[in-house]
Amino acid sequence: MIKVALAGNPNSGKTTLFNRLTGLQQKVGNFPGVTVDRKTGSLHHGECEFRLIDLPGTYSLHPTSEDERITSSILLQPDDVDYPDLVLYVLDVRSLEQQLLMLTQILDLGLPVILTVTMIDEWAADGVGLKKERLQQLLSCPVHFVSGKTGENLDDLKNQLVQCSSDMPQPAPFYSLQQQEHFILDQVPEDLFHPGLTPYGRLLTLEHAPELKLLTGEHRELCRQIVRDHEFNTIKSQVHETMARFDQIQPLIDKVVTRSGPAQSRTDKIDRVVSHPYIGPVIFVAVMLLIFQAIFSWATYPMDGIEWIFASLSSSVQNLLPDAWYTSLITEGVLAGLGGVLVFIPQIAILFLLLSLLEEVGYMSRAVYLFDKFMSRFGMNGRSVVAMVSGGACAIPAIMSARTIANPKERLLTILVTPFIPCSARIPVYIVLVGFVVPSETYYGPFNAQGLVFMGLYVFGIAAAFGGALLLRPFVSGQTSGFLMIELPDYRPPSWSTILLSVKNKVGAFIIEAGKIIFAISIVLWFMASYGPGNSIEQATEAAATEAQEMQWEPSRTDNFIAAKKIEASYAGHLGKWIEPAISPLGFDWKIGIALLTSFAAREVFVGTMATIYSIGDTDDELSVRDRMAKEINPKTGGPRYDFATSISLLLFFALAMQCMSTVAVVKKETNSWKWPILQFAFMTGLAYLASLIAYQILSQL
Amino acid sequence: MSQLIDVKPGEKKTLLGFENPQIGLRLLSMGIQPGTEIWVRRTTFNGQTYYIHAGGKNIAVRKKEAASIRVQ
Repeated sequence: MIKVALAGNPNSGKTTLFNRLTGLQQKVGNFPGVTVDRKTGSLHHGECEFRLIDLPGTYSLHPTSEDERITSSILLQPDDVDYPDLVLYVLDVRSLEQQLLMLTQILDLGLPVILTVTMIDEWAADGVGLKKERLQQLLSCPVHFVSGKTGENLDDLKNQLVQCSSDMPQPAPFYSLQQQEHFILDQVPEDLFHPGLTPYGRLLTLEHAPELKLLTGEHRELCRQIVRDHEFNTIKSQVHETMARFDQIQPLIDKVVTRSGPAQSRTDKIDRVVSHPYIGPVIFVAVMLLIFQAIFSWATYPMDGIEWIFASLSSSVQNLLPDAWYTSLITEGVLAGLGGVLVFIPQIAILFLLLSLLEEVGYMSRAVYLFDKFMSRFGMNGRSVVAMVSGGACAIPAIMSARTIANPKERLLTILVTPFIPCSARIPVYIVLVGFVVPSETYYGPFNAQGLVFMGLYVFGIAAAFGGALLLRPFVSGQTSGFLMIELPDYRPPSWSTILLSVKNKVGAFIIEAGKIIFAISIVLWFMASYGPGNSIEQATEAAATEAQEMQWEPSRTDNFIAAKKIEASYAGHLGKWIEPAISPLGFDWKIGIALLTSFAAREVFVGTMATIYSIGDTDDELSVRDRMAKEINPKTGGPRYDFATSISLLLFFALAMQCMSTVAVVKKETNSWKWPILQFAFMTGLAYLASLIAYQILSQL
Repeated sequence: MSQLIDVKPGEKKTLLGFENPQIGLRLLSMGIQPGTEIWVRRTTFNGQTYYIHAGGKNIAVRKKEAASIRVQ
């Protein structure tokens, strides 16, 4: 098996080519210790088997970001699992100079390289030509033209790979080290470097010893000391090297590129509007609202479909199997858990379809340009805007979309605060509770008072997200990007296969990684709501049945009454009563306590649990739940249980608390640790507790 | 000689060098090198982020990054 690494600049068409070569034979994971996508795939061609890895898009082997550190560390460690036998260097011809820079660095590492030039159709249209044979001769490595989009000439490239497997191209060194660089390398003990490294590889290792962690701590310290003792200016040496490479690259380009007429005019015309100081942000907000609308409304139909399928499955299982514990496990535990995972797929698929479309055509970097300053005040990134807007529909896909933020600190902050943005699952809870805060008939001028409270809750959630970012900022380690400096690529037509593959990968990763956790928590919650200590459930059921018989209630009312008594006797009920002292300062009783516990599955479960506790059969009707809750009397005050103070307190709690196991699961998956989801849970729920406590204590005194 | 932030949008200049070597190295590796033609296309409404054209491509930079680019 031959290991092939795809390397190249961002936006070079590298990923499209990777998808073309590996098709569906690919795996997406993380590089160890970091959350940069690690895409690997396999390719069989002829008699040969290749394992391909898609390295992050980078400009240079002198790393300035996490992505670049990964590429550099892999290429500098001959014993790394991902160290390639062969590099497929991908470039498009439009900014050849810049893209040849890293190619010459890789050649100087002594790695065999095949140069692949993509987007041939597009630059032919722009009047740019490239002399293939001449380039091949000057760089002394095989050169291939392919179209990532149509797959043209792809077989030639595969044949070349097979040919290379028996006869690797021999790289010719490009840059000659300066005297001073040779001198400093001579100061380092010979055995410190891997014997497979060329002098240039050693120089890179020495210059970047502190950040790349390729060497042991002791050796790193030694490197640092040598650099210090000899006053070797690493930055100056890197600048000199880069300039020297460009000096060699420029005449090379003059020999191979033919240009006719100016390019770029289409991109300029679009950007005059799309990146306009005032129109640009308006267009961005419009695009985001469209996406929001799409997740919010288009996803409803497939989501309803999925829910309907699971509901019918559940009722047919109930009809087929006897009334026993395993039937309840299957219907209320397993099927509910599976449904709870699968129901997110439409939202995730739609969001990523649209986001990768925007990414593919080159729009996303414009969003970063437009919002960089605003978001950097909160320790976030221009791309965080996208996650936060999507969070208005659902935090799950929104958090997954934060993966496009390259800086780890900015990405983590975005993940931590996105769940504050009011998502669609809060709406049913708000609908039930808003009625207790203001009567529906109240109007302030032309505005319905309930509508205003609703809007207020949205503004509150958004403010909580930005405020949360400011609060959490000092606790998230790492640096926010010291610089912006991103390329605004030319607009180009999207590659649909890349988009669809990205959707497939996101959905797959969600089901497998987050799905496990959601599923497990569903089973636990089912157990807590269905079982109680000792035979308390049986006793409660019997007592309720007797009582119902005495009252001569009709069967449906009896069933609802039994269900209410059962949940009261369950572990969830006991736990609800047990936490009552903790939540009564917020104005909550044990019934609300149970609902808070069960609605950790998802916020909207609150309504269903309330319906069960107040023994209303039909959980779909929020109004009947509200009517029943309105009749509830608070024994302490003699007034209504859901008075103004309690309702406001409960609304605040649901606005702020992390009442969503799926979000916890997806944060665990995205941050690759339990530390952040636990801290996030504690922060959000702690904040919610505090806000509800203050609100209730003040309002109930009035 | 002046800084890029002092140049009016659309006015074409020649890149001389960088005041901050870190920023310089990053821009260099993106193919932006001394001697190349450079100009500001536009800024965001608050004037904090610059949309510049240099070395045949478009790049977004922060104001302080633009300030460290010396032009003539």
